[in-house]
Amino acid sequence: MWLLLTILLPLVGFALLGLFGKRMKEPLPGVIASLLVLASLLLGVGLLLSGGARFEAEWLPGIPFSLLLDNLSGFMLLIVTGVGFLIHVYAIGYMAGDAGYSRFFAYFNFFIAMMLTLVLADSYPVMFIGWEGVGLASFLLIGFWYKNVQYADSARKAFIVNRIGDLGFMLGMAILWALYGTLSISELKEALEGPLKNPSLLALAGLLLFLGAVGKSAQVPLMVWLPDAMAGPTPVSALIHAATMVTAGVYLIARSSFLYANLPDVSYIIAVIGLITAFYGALSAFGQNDIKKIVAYSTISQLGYMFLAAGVGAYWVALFHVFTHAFFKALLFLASGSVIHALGGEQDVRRMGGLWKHLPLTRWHGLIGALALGGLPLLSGFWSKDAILAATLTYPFGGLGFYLGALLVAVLTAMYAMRWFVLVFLGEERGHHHPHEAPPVMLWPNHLLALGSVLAGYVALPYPLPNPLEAFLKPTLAEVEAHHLSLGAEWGLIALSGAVALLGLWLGYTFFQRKAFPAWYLTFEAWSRESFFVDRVYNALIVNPLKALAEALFYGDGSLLRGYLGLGGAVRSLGQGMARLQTGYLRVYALLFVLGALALLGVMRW
Amino acid sequence: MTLLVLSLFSVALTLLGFFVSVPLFKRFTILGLSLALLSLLLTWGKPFALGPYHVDGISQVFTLLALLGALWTVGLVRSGRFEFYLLVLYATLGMHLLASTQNLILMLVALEALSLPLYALATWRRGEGLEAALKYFLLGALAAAFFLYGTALHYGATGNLLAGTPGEGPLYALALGLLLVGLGFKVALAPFHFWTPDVYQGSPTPVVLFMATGVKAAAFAALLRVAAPGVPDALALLVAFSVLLGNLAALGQKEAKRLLAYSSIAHAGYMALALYTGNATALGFYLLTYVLATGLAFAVLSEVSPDRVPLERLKGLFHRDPLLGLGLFVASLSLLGLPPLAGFWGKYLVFTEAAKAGQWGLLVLALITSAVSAYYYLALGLAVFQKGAAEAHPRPLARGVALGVALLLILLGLIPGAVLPALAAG
Amino acid sequence: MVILAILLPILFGLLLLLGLPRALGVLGAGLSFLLNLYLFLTHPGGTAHPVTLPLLPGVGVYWAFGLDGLSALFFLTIGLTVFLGALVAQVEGRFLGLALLMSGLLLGLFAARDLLVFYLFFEATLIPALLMLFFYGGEGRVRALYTFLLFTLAGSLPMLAAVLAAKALGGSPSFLLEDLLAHPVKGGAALWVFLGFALAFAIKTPLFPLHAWLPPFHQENHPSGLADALGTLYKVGVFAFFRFAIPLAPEGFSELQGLLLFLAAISALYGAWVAFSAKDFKTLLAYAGVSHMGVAALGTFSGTPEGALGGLYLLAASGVYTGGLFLLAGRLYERLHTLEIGRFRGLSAPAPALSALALFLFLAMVGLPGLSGFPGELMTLLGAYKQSPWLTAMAFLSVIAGAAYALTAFQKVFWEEGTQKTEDLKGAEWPFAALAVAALVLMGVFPGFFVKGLKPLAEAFAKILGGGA
Repeated sequence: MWLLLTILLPLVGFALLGLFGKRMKEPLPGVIASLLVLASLLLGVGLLLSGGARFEAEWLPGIPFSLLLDNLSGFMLLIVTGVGFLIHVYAIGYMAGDAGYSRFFAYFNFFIAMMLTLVLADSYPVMFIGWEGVGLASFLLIGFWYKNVQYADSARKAFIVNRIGDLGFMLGMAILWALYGTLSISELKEALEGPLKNPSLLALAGLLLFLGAVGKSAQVPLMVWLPDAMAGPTPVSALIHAATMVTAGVYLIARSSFLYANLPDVSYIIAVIGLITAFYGALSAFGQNDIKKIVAYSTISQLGYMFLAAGVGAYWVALFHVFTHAFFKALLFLASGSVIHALGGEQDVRRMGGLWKHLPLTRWHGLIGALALGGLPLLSGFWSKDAILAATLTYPFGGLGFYLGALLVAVLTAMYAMRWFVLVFLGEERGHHHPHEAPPVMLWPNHLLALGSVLAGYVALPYPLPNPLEAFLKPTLAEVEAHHLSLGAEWGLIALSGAVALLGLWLGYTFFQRKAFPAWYLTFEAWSRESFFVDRVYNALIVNPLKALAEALFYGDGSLLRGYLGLGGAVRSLGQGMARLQTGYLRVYALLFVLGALALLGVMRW
Repeated sequence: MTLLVLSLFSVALTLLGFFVSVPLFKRFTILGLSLALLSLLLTWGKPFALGPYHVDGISQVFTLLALLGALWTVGLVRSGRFEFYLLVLYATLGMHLLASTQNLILMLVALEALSLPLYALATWRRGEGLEAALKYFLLGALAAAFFLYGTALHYGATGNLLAGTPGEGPLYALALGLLLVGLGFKVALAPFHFWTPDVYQGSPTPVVLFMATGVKAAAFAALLRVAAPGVPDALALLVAFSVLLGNLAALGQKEAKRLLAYSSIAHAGYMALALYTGNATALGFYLLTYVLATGLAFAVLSEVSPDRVPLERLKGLFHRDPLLGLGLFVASLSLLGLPPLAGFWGKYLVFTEAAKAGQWGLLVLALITSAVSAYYYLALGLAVFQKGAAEAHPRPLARGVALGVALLLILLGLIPGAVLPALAAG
Repeated sequence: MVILAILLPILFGLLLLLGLPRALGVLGAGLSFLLNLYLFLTHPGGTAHPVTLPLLPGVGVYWAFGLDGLSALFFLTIGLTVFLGALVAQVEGRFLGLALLMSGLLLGLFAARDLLVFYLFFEATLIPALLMLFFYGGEGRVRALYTFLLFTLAGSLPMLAAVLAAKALGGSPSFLLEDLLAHPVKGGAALWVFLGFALAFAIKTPLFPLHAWLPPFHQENHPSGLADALGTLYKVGVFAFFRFAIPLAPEGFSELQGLLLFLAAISALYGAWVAFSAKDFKTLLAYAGVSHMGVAALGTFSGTPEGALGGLYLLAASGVYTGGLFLLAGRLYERLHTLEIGRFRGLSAPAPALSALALFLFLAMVGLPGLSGFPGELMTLLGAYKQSPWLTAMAFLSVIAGAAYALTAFQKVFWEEGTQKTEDLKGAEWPFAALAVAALVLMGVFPGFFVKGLKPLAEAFAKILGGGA
């Protein structure tokens, strides 16, 4: 029951603010919303400390509404409510004065409730409730400023693209149901311990569930919605499209690790998709001019990392990266938000620059965030990224290739992280603004996030240093056999990746302070700016043909009706033909009469 | 009893007609028909025989229907000449006789006895009516010839003149076929229906009502007797022709009476389905609902105009006179056979008979064509609600009857069980 | 009790037709809703309140009614939807009277325990539906009316043959459901009997390509949406398949199952796809209805207990949300005198509560978990997949298409920059909104409570088809 309360608290906040928020004065709605999330956080911590919790209620025949708080979901709960709380607080300042102030916090609370449902679910349908719920919250928040057509379009696009993944999720559930007759995660876990029934079908189920994750976590090929999702207010981008919701896909894989550990082929696909996405995101980040879109593409790329880790079987590492990423990416977004706030809504990095001297606190947030993203040794991003790199190398199927790829992405990441920082904070002022530092209510969350970005990596240090996180999560995750690296090799790799990160950071730092760029870079930048034309290709090959077909079918349906009416008309004219026999001439009548009589007698059985 | 009453009144009124005023004469006619009805009801369920005259269940049920039709016709008509009423009375006598005998010769006599007054009635309006009546008469003669020939062959095949005698051989089959043609003409089964549209359109509406109700009832009674030992399979042809032609040809009609003429052909087809098992109760109930519904329709039409009634002229009837409008609407739906109106149960009962006889093909054909019929029945029924300037000068009684019959159609639809046992007991 | 529940709205309907004021109709609808709610809440399981009175003695026709879990659920949703309509649809008293009359007939249809009585109500419901369209419809109503009428009758009249055959060929002593179930039609005739039923019910579902009557029906009905809401409730095809057609001739069904599943899947996808191109609200909802009914039919045709349960629950839920959306469209029409989607813009700003209500309804329609559309959709998916994975996958592509048409319409109407001044919810629209949202949420959050009466029926259904639970 207490467990349910963690979900209900923010849900109550949603109802309360949705119904009465309009009558509350700022900042009351924000305060209420933040406090409820905090209460959820405290409750969750309490429950976790008391050894987890379970909740089950009747829902549908054979499908109870079951929640489970174990270490894995508890870990996610902490991220969601913890980071969520900070971003709520930040939003009190960021959204101040907006006409939809209370509406914003209602949606925000709704999101937290749904995210908690997703995380705490002990059955796939319940997870799906949260899954779709966060999708809805994302839709509503991306389209928060709905008067802008582009924003509204983005919101819709996000929802529809996500639905593609959701269909995969649903079909995956259908297969599991058909195979095992249950969708409870705990029960499926037990059922999968024995020999597998129908492994190829199970693999399909795994693949379909992964399709759901691909949609939600913006992996290739369904990544197109996330950059557009930046249309929402910045706290939304930080909370939903960086720290929490988009990592739900990773969580799904980790939650289902008992399944994927049995499906090496599917896991391989996951790893490949993850790597491709990591590349794609990193390459696309270079060309972006919107301060938030750079961060958005970096999110795509980092999510790719997480899937790479999950694909090679290092589930806890994936979650580790979720954890550190939540801090530094939220920080980057909120710092971006502070910048935007400072510039009165300006988002184009070409009109920024030189903010270093204007924003004495935010500049540090930005720097720490960028460095953590870039993997500067000893910051949180470094530890988790390194753990991923190490994990790929132990992967028995082409581990080296994955490793080298991931390493390359690490260089790119460090470079574009610096590009972001350089363009925003360094150089000369290119805009005509009068920047002002953010209020304390926005700064304090960033302070805490910055602290997290520095320190979050220390929960899981490489062997032989203490690694409490792995120990904490291991019981809830499946084991995949992998060979272990020797101590020397491991630390050698750490040194290598540290050096690579430093190289990347330095390259980025110097390269993007240049006045002129080489031609090859400009060409690349042009492609990158358009995200390699994926959107256009999709529009040309999929979206527009489908729309055109919809129009065609619509008119075709009209013809169908006309066809039926034509049939009716034919019957009618047949009738008129019959009525025409009624000529009025007696001789015709008599003739037909006699003919009829003859016909009658003719068919008699003699 | 009934025969006695009818004959007595026929003779007496023939003489009386020259001495009393027409309205009074009309009342006498009504009195006679009512007394006949009363006598029928008093002896309900009690068989009676006198030579070839044979009152049994079939006779009572179908005479009842014929009497209802006759009464309604007389009540409706506004004729200034007493002959009209007299002719109705003569025809009713013929109908009663036709329904009450197994003897083929007597049937033939009764057929002529009911037909000749009707020929005369059909000419009541000169001009077009005369032409239609002439066709009716000549074709009727043809049909009578068939019937007569059938009678002769029947005698040859079985050695007696009792309809319903079982027999076999080609001669017998031929006899049955010829009898079928003769009676099929009277009930307007296709392809012997050709008189119907012309006559319905050309005759005064009350006469049409009489033809559609009384004649059908009496002729079907005879058909039941003729078909008792087994239906010639050629009947299927007639049914199929009737339901197809009746319903399809009605689709394009713009004139209400002509439309109902085709409808009556289709209904004859449906009713003929009951012949397969010879279930008089089912057929009787169908005829009852048909008499009520089609009678109501013609009654409303005759209040609009005694002549032709194009559908256009019905528009706005509901606003002009809600009771008449609703009456026509209810009648149309009942003719269509939409529950909860009585017509549905009529259809249900005869279709059940067809099902019992295993005539699934005919059954489906009948049902499909009746779906088609929805088009014209609705056109008729909904016309009254449309915007328009329909004229109607109904008598108060007519409105009362319209309301009563409409309610009866609904009531019978809800509790058909109320009258079925009575029909079965007859 | 059941008889009372059926007669109550009919009585009020007749009173209204005689010219009594509209307020009385709202009262009648409210009473009917409360009575149905009471019947649902106190439903003890099994077939409650059985009534059997002779209708046609001797030939085995009885006025037989009873309330099993399925009927009780539909009683609730019908009562609710009609009450919602009575609350907000600004129509004259006689119109409401026809609606109440129709709702009573629908209740009878769902409570009938005798095949012929079911048929009676099935057909009789047509009359008020036609009259509403005829008296209160738009310009092209006559054509729409004949299309609707002829489609319906082209199915339902031949069905009468199947009705007769179900008894005659099965050897049942009466048309009572129990008797018929004990004597299903067997052998070669089963196919024909089933076909007779199937045509009628496929038209009423409606399944592609027999859905063509539906768009004009909705387009031409009164813009208040009252008639459309009732029309939505009248889409009883899936229910009828479940209760009558399939159990009475299971062998016939088995032969056609593949085809029916295919048509259902096509309908689901096709409807959603076409809805995307719809230019006005009612057309959109009409095609959306085709899509939803396709999904519901898919579940039922799967012959699995989950699928049947899901399909029926979806049917019940869609009555409320689709009906609610039609009524909502009516509210918009009253404000801005158009139903064309392109003529609205940005209504969220002037009318936030209205837009919130619309969002709830739209989301329920696209099957968002937590709202009433989802449980049925999920169970359908789980059941149908077992029977036919590929068709199920195809049908559920409508999940994507559904999001596309629903959100596109929502965005066009409520989002973006608008100049229209619109009143927000007012007067009776508040209880309407509250009740509708409450229903959507309760049916979505506590589906188990609503389907508990359905479960044994769905299992019995699957058993008839040889599928275990």
